[in-house]
Amino acid sequence: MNAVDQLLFGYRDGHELIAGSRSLSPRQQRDVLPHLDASFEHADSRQLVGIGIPSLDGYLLARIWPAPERPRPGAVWAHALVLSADQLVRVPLAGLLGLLRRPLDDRFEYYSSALPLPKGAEHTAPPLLTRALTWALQSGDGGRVIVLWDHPDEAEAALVALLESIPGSDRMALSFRTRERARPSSPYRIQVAATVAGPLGEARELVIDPRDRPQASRA
Amino acid sequence: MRFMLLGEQATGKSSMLVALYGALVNRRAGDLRIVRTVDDVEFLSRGLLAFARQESLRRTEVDSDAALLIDLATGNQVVSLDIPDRSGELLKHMLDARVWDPDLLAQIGPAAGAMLFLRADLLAPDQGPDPQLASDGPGTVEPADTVAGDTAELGWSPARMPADARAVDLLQSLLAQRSQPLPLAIIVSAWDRVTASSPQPSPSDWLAENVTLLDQYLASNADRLPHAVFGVSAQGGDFVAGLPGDLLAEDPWDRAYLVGPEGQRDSFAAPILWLLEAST
Repeated sequence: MNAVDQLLFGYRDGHELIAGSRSLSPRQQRDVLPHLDASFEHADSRQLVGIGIPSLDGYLLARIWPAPERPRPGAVWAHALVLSADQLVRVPLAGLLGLLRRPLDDRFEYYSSALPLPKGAEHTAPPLLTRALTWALQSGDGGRVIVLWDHPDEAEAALVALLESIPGSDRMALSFRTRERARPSSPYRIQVAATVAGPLGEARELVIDPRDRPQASRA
Repeated sequence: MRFMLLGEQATGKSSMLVALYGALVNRRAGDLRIVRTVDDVEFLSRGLLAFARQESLRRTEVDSDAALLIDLATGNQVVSLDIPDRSGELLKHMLDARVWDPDLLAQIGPAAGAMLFLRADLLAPDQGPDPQLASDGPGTVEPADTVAGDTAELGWSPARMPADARAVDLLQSLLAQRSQPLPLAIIVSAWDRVTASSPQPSPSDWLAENVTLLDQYLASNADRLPHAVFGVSAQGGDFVAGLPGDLLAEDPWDRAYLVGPEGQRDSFAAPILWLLEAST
């Protein structure tokens, strides 16, 4: 209860599990892999993912970074915390983001043992974005929502706060992801992105755009 | 008509699609012409830009839903082509874990044919030990408790299989899921590494020489796996080592080249035309 399991994925012989405090069955690896990979257009970007994984009986909270220092173009690092169902309900979630670290070299000792759970931390996020995320959570029939925001990184703390704001029994079902370009028909309940990749087509995402835009001047 | 791309990571699947798209839009694909692009082709255009800058393509992420979705005209016939570009890690993990990926499994039945990708420079006999043996992560089987030292035995896992055994394993699994024959274009990528040697083998001869188990398996199952072998250099050369001087000024679609089963130069349309003919 006092420590949280962790996983590090990166590029070695393909994108794969590099280190971790627990083992994964083949089924579990297959289930987590799509959530711990990404493509980036900007080297200074990052993504945050939160999703319940039934085969882990746990909740994955992960951050993904580009890894331009690796030999394969497009390689990424993904550091994930695996919260048990009990931890997801009982521990303060706010401080978890501080545990997510990008590897700086080929030493992975930090990732090989469970991490002590941190105390809580203050959330800070732009009020407009926080309000839009609340709308996203409360929208309609619980369908998928895309929130447009120029700097999706700014939504990280607000998304964790959103997770913490709902009843413990509902948390496993709330999934989210920040990314440069939201994808229609994504498995995540909430995506925060600067733009949408391709046309929405038959996708049923609700799109919320809370960004301040200059008002058209009147003649 | 849907064709599957089968290959583990870094075997040239996306590069082949980019080179094919470059050949089609720049009229380097013989009689094959694009009538219509049905879906977003931005990833292909960006790939061509990367090749123009002499940069290798970025890897395809695991949850990518990219596809080459186009209508092609050949003679008086128009064919809708759907080639999903899935990450090689999906296939790698599937073979390592012996668990079908649901998306790949769903592709098998409707597929009219497939391209199987092999990397020439990773299969040639002088490339040293299998990299699998040197790169076990926590998700793989640990070496068995055996004698220490250079001769220590290693525990077996599917991840330790050599590339030709993995390819045969994949094809056996595919055929177990499918009652109809599956036309198969074998694409040997990084072919420029092969043609740098002398004498230059044909792709068919190269396969027989370097990927013996797969070659024999294909020969034994030719009724269910009609196949042809192509050599492909989507980049036209090695960007890291530097392109030969006479290629530096060439456009990506003129640097790229394809060699047919018997060693003859051909257009990037050749595997598609072969698959179209074999699947009808």
